[in-house]
Amino acid sequence: MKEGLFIQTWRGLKKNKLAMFGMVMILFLLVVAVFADVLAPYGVDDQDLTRKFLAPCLAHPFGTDEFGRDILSRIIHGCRYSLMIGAVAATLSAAAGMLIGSLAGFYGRQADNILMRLIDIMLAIPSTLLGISIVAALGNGIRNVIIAVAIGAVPAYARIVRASILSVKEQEYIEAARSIGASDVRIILKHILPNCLAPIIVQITMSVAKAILEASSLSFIGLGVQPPSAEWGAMLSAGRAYIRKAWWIVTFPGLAIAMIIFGLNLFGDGLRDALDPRLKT
Amino acid sequence: MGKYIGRRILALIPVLLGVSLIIFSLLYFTPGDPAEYMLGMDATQENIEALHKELGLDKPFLVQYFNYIKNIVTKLDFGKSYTTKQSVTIELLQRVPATVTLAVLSVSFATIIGVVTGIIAAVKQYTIFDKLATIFALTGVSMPNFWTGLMLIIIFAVHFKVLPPSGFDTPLHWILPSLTVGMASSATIMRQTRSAMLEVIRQDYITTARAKGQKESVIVMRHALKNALIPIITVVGISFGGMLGGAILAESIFSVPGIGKLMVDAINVKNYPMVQGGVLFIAFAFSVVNLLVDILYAFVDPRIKSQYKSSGKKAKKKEG
Repeated sequence: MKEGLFIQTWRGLKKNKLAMFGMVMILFLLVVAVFADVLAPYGVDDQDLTRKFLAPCLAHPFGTDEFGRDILSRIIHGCRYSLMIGAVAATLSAAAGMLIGSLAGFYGRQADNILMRLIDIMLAIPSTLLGISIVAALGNGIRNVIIAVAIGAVPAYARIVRASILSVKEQEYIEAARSIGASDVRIILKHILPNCLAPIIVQITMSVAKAILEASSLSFIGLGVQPPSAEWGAMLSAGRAYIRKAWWIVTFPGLAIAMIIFGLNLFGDGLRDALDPRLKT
Repeated sequence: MGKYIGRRILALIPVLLGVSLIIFSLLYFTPGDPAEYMLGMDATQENIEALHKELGLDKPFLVQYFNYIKNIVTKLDFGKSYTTKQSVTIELLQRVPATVTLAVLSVSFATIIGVVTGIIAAVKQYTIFDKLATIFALTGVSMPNFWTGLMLIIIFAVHFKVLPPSGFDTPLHWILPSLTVGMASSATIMRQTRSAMLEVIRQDYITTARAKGQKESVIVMRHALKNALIPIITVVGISFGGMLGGAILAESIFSVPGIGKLMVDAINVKNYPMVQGGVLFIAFAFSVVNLLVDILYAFVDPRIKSQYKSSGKKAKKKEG
């Protein structure tokens, strides 16, 4: 069953040129992140005050910043931050959201009422604002940014999982599993969740993109990852002061963020089309 | 209908209480003493304690929270700003016009651009217009809006020097911030409009209208768009929350004297009453907009309106 889904999805994805393009972009950025030390022409923190504010040239294709650091090298290293924040935050929020959604959907009644009201409350705060408030409370730093971004993404997962569980809960195979004495946990993990995987997988791809965007906006307003870390949002934040004389400092890190989001969105869209049974005809 | 609206307004109360409790506890358990921030490094222990007493910070958590809510409900009093000693309510209200102007302009911009390009892309499906619009949508949602803002400043303020880079005094100042906030949403709205229109445009009644020799513009605007409006309104409503978030960033990029900038500044100096008030205010505004969107459905779609009516009648019968 699992293999069938995988192969079917892959076949659908292969036909979608945009999705494949997105996948190649993501793979490219993954390679860049893994081999950052080899690929970067200069060290991430190598300062050279005689070469500060250099416009893009052959030696520094993306120019240098206010400390003479090579922007290309910093962007290459920054790739690690973004991918890690995106992946960890999406995993955390998926786990928490699936737990809340499963409990609400499976047990219904009181559990459903209480948990979904909690989700409603979280949804009443725009996610950027929720992220800002959480980081304000927890303090700066990469760990807290991940937590803040992850919490903001929980409601979406919880709703999706709850809805999918409601749709399969009454099916006969669940009743069969229960009649042979399977425990609730086993039913949820082995029988229900694998059958609601499609929307969850799509949501994970999209929420990696969203997490990266939000983490970089937190860093941008000075609440997230702090300079001199080569996180892209932090680079933008530091470069803002020199916007009049060195456009390249803020241009390239932003392009890098846009590129990663672009790739993830293309791939996510393609995945949704490939996984959506309604579109298979 | 009235009953439904009433119920929805009542349902807002627990949500807003929940929001206030979450934000209040988050900031309450934050390490760092606001009194120490206010008094500076050389404050004596007595001074700090006196200030705790004055601000009510010496009381237990639940008492503090209860007093906070009581003051909001009875006196619309969100407390005093730690930095300016002014009422948070007054400071927030002073910042409302800028944020509302920015929000309204961004939503209008995003809706106009999004719906128009979406319609064109759907009507001219698979042509160069459709492809261009799709590329616009894909890049639009991928660009972080704070970066879009910086790029707009570089292009229009630094390079061409046609628009001011910061401030919010004249309509000229409004252009860049609202473009920044609206850009990403216009892309989302465009995609939704395109797919909603594509779905409607294949329906039989559109073919019928064409067969009768109706003008294409009338078909698109009156027959198709009207029936595609529900998903479009939904996505505009959903984007509104994102735009409020984006406005917070845009306000600090363009130094717009709005609620977002006020809050970011307040967070940096641990001015908690201001942060709490701001979050509550935005959550309230967001919930009201969601409610308005739901009510709008009924006006756009007679089927939904009749649902309200029939459910109202049923309820009356039960009561009777």
